[in-house]
Amino acid sequence: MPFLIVVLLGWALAIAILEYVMWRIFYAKTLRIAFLTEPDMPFSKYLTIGIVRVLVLIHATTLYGVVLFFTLLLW
Amino acid sequence: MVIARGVPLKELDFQGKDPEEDFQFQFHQHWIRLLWPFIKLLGWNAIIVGIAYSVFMLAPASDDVTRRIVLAFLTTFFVLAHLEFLKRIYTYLLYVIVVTDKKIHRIKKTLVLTNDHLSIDLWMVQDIEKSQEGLLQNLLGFGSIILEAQETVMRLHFVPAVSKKYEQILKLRERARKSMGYLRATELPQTNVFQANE
Repeated sequence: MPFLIVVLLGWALAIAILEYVMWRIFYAKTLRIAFLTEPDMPFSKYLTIGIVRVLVLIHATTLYGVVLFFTLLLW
Repeated sequence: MVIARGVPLKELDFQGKDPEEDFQFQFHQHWIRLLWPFIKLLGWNAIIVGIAYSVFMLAPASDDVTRRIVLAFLTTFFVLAHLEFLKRIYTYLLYVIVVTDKKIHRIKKTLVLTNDHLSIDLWMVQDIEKSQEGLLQNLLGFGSIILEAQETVMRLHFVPAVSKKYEQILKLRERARKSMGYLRATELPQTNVFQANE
């Protein structure tokens, strides 16, 4: 049982770190790049820094949720 | 990230902008660029689910260690496949074409390895080529624009609404040439040049 908790915590940490590092690099590279409403780009009017950040959080949470579910199911 | 929707577009600041340039429009590549990475993600998920089903349901491994090692491998591949797709989305957002009244800037970055900025003066562009090949490109209206200026070639692929962009760039080039005096110089009759030399 303690080993299972270590594994789950390890996955949580790994996913959180990787998503955070990727986000920080992306954020640093977007300096002086404008995200405007582009008529040819679907949903571009919703593309703001806040929404992209929320999407990244949702992605990380969902990813960990799936990992958690299958690890508990198949361990 | 600069969210500049409240700023007058002509005054928009971006990487590599000259103070005298006026922003005209910008675009990312067509969304179809993300289709192949998405299909790849689905493919990897299907393979992982298939392996998991055969290992854990059809012929379950007898000992715990083998089962847990297989689970760890599958989870690793699952997480990596998703992070790869996320990386593709970031890369897609970091590829921007900015068109001003004087130049075309191609800003192309990836998360780690690439940080390119190619600019081309509009008035110097000799040939502008537009190509749309295949059913998909013609149906969805995207294609490539190739700009040639002396020794520089700028290739813009997956340009959305390519016909409209092509015409806009042509008009901007003519305007840029007029403002540079390019047309007036080339339109001078040769006799005037000789007279001036004498």
